[in-house]
Amino acid sequence: MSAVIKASHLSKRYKHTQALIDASFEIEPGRIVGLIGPNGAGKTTALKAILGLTDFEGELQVLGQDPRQTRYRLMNDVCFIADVAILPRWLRVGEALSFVENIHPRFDRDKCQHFLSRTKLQMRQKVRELSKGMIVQLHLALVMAINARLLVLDEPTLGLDILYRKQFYQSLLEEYFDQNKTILVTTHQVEELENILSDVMFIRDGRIVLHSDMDALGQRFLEVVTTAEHIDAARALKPLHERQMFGKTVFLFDGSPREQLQPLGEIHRASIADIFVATMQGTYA
Amino acid sequence: MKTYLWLVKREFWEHRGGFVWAPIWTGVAMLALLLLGLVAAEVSMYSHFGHTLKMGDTSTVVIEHGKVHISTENITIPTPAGPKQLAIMHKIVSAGLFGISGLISTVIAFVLFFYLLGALYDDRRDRSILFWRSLPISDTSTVLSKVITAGLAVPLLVIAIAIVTYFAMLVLLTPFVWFHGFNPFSLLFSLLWWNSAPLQVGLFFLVALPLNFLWALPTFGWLLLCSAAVRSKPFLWALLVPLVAGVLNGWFALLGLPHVTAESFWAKGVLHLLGGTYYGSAFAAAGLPTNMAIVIPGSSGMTLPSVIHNGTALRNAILHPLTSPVIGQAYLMPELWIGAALGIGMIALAIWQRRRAIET
Repeated sequence: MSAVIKASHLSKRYKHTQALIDASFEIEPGRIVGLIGPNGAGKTTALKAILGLTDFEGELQVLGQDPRQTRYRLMNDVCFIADVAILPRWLRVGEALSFVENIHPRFDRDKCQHFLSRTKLQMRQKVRELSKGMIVQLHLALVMAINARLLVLDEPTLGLDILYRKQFYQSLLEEYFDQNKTILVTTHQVEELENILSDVMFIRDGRIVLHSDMDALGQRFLEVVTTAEHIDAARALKPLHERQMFGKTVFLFDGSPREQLQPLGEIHRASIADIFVATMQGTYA
Repeated sequence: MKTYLWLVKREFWEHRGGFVWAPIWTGVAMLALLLLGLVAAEVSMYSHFGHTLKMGDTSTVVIEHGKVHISTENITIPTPAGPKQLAIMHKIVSAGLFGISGLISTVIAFVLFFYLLGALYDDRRDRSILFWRSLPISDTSTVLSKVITAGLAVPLLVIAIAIVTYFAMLVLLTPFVWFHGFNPFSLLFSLLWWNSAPLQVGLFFLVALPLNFLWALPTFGWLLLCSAAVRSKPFLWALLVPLVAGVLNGWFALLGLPHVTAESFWAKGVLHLLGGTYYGSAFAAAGLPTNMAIVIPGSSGMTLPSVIHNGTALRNAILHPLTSPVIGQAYLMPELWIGAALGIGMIALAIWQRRRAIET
């Protein structure tokens, strides 16, 4: 199958900052890709470019179309949750359903009502009467009832409590995602996404600095917990990062073979969060 | 087509208060005032004469130094009410419909003005534009749906509300008419079917709808453009730009540089640019009755103080809106077409602005 998103040499310059620099990547169908980066790294700009919400330099194909030319046609196949609480405050739950039902050719009203029946949302309620978590429940129910090929989520769970966050990703995985769909998500809560993602992309200062699937990532980045006598040997192997934990030193290695690290101590698979922190060192300096 | 229907519906959901309830409450308020006035009239009449006037009584109304004197000497209220009396009543209630629609139009003119200023701005400010743009709707459809709402859907609703208010006014008048010896049913029946005044005036408004739409295009375009383009305070931009242009124009005049006369700049240009949401501004420009002007069709020059009176042609326009040449002549005004062309240009610019709305 051909790539859902194919970007080559994307660049975008705002007045004072360069948001994207020569970013190239491809996303295959059936993947859940996390686009992870510090604040201001260009995540949102990249998503906006994919959604046809901003102009840019370079080549970009989303589902074979140029989003700059055909944004609204593309939206037949692409769904999008931008941020929490962007549903219009005057809209009633029932109106939202009727509107999307009549505007979107791939919306399944029964499905949406099924999702809503498990929440406390009432058809007569206005968005302004809902809590942040309930607004996201509504938005998610609308989006999950659309049989789209690409779902783009930009910080979808920002400001939600952990119950809503867990429920959000669980619903997505269990009731929405399948082999024909692709999800592209940005978040700061990296830990929560760890078990969901199939691929990660790290973005830093407008550049894609890492793009890998999770299995390859697990083999490439290894964490070694060492005791004092192995510290010098470990440092000699040029670790990416080191930190102290309970009197022991934890080293993160990028690409060092497992056999070489074995004698130094206990080997763990590195978490995305640790890899992220190590990769992004000095970003705000 | 279906998309546009739902887009317009969406506008009504968002602006239910302004589009539906504001004209209805205006109508209700007018009926309430009418009721208060009628009761006050009855009470003062009773205290003046010690009895109510019935058909067959004679009375005269003299207005002197701003005071109203009523005596029962000169005018006879004839009995029974003949066709002539019914015709007079008919004229008075037709004037009532113009009055009702005039006041409701004034209210809705403000509603529409601020609606258009916010139409492409409010959702940028609260970021809900991201939700709307995540749906497969083109920016052209979005902007045009706002034009259709302001130029077609709301005027149609307002005409309907005005006619309903008018019927409510007739119902309200019935007991008073009865009280003074008219047979209310023969009066109502003749008003509705014999002369069909409300339907006639309603038809006049309907026939004039395309004219008003074309006339209002520059206002729609300008307000939508301000709404789509500015970062903040669209209201200030909408007023300040013409104001600054007017001052510059005046300065050009002082220096003897090419300019347009102040009269045509303000009274024609700016009024046309900002006043189009008032349903009837096209009539005023064409010398037709505005809604505010109370014109009594069929009367031989029977007018009230605020009347813009245009003789037979005007009366024919209202009596025979489909065949009258007056509305047709209004289409010959060059400023109608120049304005419409500019309006369409500004709407196109607003669409272009909307397309790049989420740049920052």
